[in-house]
Amino acid sequence: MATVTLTIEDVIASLEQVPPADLLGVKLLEKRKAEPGRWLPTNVPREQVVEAAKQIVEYSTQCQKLANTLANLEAAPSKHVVPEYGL
Amino acid sequence: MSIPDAVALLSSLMRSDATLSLAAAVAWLDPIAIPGVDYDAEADPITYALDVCRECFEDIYLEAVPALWQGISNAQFENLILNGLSEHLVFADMMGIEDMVMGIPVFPIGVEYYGEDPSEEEYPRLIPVLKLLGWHPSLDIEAAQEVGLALANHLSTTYSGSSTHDDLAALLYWMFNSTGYVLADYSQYYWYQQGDARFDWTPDEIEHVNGLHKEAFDAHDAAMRGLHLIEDYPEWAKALKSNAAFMADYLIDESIDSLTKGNMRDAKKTNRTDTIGIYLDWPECVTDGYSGTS
Repeated sequence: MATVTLTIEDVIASLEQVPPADLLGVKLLEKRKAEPGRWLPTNVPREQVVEAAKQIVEYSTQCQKLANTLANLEAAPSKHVVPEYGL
Repeated sequence: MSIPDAVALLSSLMRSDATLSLAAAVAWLDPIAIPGVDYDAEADPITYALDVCRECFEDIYLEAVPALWQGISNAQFENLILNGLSEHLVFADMMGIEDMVMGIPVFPIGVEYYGEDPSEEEYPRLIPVLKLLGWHPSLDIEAAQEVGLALANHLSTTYSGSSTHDDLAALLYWMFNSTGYVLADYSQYYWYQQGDARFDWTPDEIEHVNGLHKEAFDAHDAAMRGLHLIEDYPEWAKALKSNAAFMADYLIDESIDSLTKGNMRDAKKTNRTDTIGIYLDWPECVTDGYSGTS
């Protein structure tokens, strides 16, 4: 019987170690001063917003491409035995 | 706690979680990227315009999203989008962003007088040229078409590289829907009669439609230069008239029956139109004072 070498919890824990993407938009949100009644900032200089938006659009597009790639992965032999994905 | 304070508190709590923080940033800076947002393009032209721009015109999208957060009016937003589109499209004439739902704008510029007599009201500048080709209000346009295309073939093969003669050939091809460029040859009526004339907003289709417009506008510009030539240089109008009369006689001759019945543009491959070239007389290429502008 195959020995389980990797559990789904291990995969999740591994993915959780990945640091958050370094995105200007997120930084701008973190640094913003409180604006009562506002979910999103309105007082950020336009140039910074455009730069942050460009970065977020690129990041979103990359994530969408990656998600599509992962959704269409072909089977590949592995030494690891992950019971949740066993045949 | 007041509602504004509650919003501020929730907003700050969201920032303490990386996933929620990223979600807030996307909602702020790239709202169209949020999947699963379904909308009716006709009922929501602003969202549709943003959707198109995110897919095809990122620079416009990056201008529009911050502008929306800054509270620009619908009219200002519409101007921003339409001005941006005019930078990217060879033809971008739209009444408003609601027209975007109909696909990439297309502008066929072909002549249309088939099925009805050419009229002075519709084509005041082309009627004199048709008359030089032997057309008369009591006659069918097809005879003038055969003569015009035969002369165009002769000009384009015999004087290839001469801008003046090429421009006159371009005029004759355009007048009879034979430039070979689809938007220069289709009239608006026939284009939309096809029913499948829609081009979707994708980068490939935009490039394709820009190419169609560019070649059609170039052909039309050349035709307009040819028209100026006929209007402004009497010796060219005189030559067109006499050569058209000669060509008409030539085409009537039964010995070239196949030429008259066949595809006129294919005829040049046989050099049969060239056989009468020695009888056709055209002025020298115009160099002085010929602006070549429409």
